[in-house]
Amino acid sequence: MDLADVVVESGARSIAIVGTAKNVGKTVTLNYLVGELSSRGYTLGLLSSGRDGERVDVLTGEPKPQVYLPRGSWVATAEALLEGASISLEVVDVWERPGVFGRLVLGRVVEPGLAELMGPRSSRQLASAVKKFLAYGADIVLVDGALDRRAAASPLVTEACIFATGASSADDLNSMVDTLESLVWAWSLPQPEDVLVAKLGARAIEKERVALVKLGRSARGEAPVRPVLVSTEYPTALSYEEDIAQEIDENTLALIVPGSVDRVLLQEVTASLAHLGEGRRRPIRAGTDAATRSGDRSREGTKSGWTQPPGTDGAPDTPDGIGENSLVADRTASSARERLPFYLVMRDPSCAMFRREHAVPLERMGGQLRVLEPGRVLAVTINPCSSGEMVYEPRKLVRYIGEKIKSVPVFDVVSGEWFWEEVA
Amino acid sequence: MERAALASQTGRKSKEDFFQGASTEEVIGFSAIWKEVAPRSQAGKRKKSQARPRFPGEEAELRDELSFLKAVTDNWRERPGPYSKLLAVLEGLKDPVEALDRAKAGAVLTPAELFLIGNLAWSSRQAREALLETGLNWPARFEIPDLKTIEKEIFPGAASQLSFYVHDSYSPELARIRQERKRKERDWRNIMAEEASRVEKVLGRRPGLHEEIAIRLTQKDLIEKARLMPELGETRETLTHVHFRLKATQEAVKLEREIARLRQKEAQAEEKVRAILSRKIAERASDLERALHALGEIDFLLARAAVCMDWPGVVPEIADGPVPLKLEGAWHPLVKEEVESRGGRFQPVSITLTSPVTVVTGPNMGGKTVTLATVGLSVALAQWGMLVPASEMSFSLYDFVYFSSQPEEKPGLSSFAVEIVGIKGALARRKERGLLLLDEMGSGTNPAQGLALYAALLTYLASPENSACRVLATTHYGGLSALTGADHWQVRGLVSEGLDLSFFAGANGKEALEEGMKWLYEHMDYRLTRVSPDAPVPHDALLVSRLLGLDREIVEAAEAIIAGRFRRLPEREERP
Repeated sequence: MDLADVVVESGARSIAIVGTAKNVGKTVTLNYLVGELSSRGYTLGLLSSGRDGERVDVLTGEPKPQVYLPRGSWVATAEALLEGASISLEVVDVWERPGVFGRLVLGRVVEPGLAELMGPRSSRQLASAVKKFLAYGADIVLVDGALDRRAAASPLVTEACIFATGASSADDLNSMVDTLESLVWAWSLPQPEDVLVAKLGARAIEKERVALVKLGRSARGEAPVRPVLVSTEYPTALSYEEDIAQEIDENTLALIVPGSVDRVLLQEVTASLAHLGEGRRRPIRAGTDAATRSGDRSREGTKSGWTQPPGTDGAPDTPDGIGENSLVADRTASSARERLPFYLVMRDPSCAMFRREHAVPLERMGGQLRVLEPGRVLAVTINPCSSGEMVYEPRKLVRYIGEKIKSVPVFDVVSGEWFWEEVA
Repeated sequence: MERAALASQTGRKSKEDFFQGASTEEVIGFSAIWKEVAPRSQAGKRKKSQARPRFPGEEAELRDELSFLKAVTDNWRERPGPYSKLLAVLEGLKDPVEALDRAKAGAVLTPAELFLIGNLAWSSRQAREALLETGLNWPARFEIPDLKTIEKEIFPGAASQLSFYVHDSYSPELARIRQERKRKERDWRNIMAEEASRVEKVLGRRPGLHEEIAIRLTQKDLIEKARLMPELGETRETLTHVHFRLKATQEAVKLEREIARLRQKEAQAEEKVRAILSRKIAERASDLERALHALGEIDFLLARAAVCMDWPGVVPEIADGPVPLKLEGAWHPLVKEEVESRGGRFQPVSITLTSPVTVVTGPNMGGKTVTLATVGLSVALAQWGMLVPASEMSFSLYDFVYFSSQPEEKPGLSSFAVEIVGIKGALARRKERGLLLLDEMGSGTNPAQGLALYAALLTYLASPENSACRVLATTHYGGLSALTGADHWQVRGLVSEGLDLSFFAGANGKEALEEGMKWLYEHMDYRLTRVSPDAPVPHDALLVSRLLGLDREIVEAAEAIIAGRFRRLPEREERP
């Protein structure tokens, strides 16, 4: 099996190649794909996701790696990078772009050769450049996920992605594998199963407001039935984590977060779910946990342990007042479901700024992570060589990682080794 | 004051002079509407940022501008075709200012810069065609020079897609060099391919990217063989592989040198072509700049037209000398949108400011502030070259507009201080033709003193000796108009007679607010009528309190107090 076959068979028209760290052979992977795909007759579109800075790698002092741009391919690079380059372009568009490299030039390669790729900085513009290349006639667009790797791999920009990782990405092989597992996990997160949650979520993301999907109550005080969107005033969750988490109550189906979601928000949401699991709302001020009276009793019978299971006698013992009490009683008595699911919904996997293990406590509380725009991972490539001391035997490394990252094929494009353990 | 003085010296006012006071532009809603005016190109955005309102003395220019804007909006509705084309051209118009400047300075433009100039020439031709298709007679500032010849110079291929490359067709010399270089490259590739075939025969593999080949350390015999091959050179060894690279033969090395030399010559020939093109561009720079300015003007005009078409607006009648400001059926687009979004219906504003000072009275939520904002916005829009959302408007131009609003979040002394400092600034310009919009001034302080101050201010401003301004002032105080001799307009307000109000008695809390507000919106008559200066202020506050569910006992007690007070007070004070 070959990486190029995987790409062609995927049918994806735009693919991000994203390195998990520096010097992980991302450009080797990119060059490999450029060579293989163009020799198979595909017209390529090539650009990178907003890189800027020095022309020489800050860490190694070596020149930035260049990509081979075949004749007839559609590429984006900076005006400054074209000066003195062996390639020449037929210029088809020029975009203003802030930064030291000057304007962004989009063109078709007339004289092929090695050059550095460049791209716009915002993911919106990146997406529009990808679309433009496809419209010009590129069969497949490859986006070199440079510094801003997450932007390139966002499903809003590219249809699918390939993660490049290598021995030099971490001193410890296990930590490298952890990073990779987290990325593959995030890019495999599903959409919310509930169509209405997805619809309301999309509306909240469009409005750029953190919002909650709650079961609404009609004016006549009937049991909560209809999910409604309750917007907060926060455009982002960052630095408002605690306030946002406190908005979660018994009737909250989902928390929708535009932009980044980090570990702090996960912790706060987990804490709120834990309090609800004890049949009461979280106290407004953190640190007043002394009132944990109902304790573990209400957790019986539920895996998630955050709502009162039906069948426990009477209303839960709540110290917070009758209003809260009756809400929970209403819900448990009238709802056909045993417990409400809880979704934490992100725009797309590139918003997940936390590791896989940080989501585990939330999942134990019955919370589930979802994305409105799901990602798609085609493959993982590894670079067994390193300028440092640690070098792995390619076959062993490919197998080792392949067994960890199930369902995604792993390649070393230099040695040609690969491993894929398909899971049903 | 210094700025005003400077302006009168130079005779030309700047755009900053028009809105007096820091919050005027915001409060009347002009900022929000101006933000909707969104040109597509950089050239259009520049025109917008340079825009200034028309001041007294520029009536003729403004009349021409507005009537042409109106003609464009009408034409656009009738023939949307050429306008869609114009918008598409403007959307794709790049910003060639820097490139033009460099060409003028004698620099050789880069391929990207030449593309930008080509884009301007191409956009100009497209826009010229579209302007013709509109059938309108476009004034001089929208006229785009014919740039066909320059377009042909830069894009001789005349391809369907706009692109720039120093094609062989620009220069026979360049074409010859390229041909030679390509031939040598082919020869070089053939030599390397022969070598690669020999390597493949021995090692069973062909060198890959960059003529490299990597052999596993475990394949010792292969490594030995490779090391013996004259075609290969060892480059590096890792813990797993030995890397070799295809060595160029002597002949290939010679070719490489020649190719490098040809490439250099090619670059020089290309630069020569670009230098010639750059010179031609410099020669036509003034035409190119004129085209860019015209495209910017068109962009800015269409951006304004698009906003006005949503309303749609009218061309106001602009008098040369001072005439009363008259508005018929005017509406505030932002307020209207908000009212309609909650299912209501916006009642248009009609008012005429005949005397120097006009006072508006009316109940809470009777739309007094909206009236002020609508008047201010209408004047501002007209002077900034926009159609006015009204069925009719006539006025003469103002030097400035001032709005004294209630800073909502800062009650008490500070809000009063803000008011005083604000009006002081406006009074410094009282000899200019200003429009002063005063919203319940002095209501944040002691009622008696507030009234006295307000009355004194209006009386002062009513005298032509003191001020050349026109004043529109709202108030809750009855008798302010009679005190100052001002014109008096009143919001018709709630018509409560014959209405059953009993169903509100039991309502409470949020429900009372929602239902009460709904009822209020439905039964409020927002229309203004001119009344006598001493017409009393209706006691709608009590009715509104009742509607909003305030305890009946309290409201009735308040009614009793008013009745009692009126009985005790002498006639003179009841109707001052």
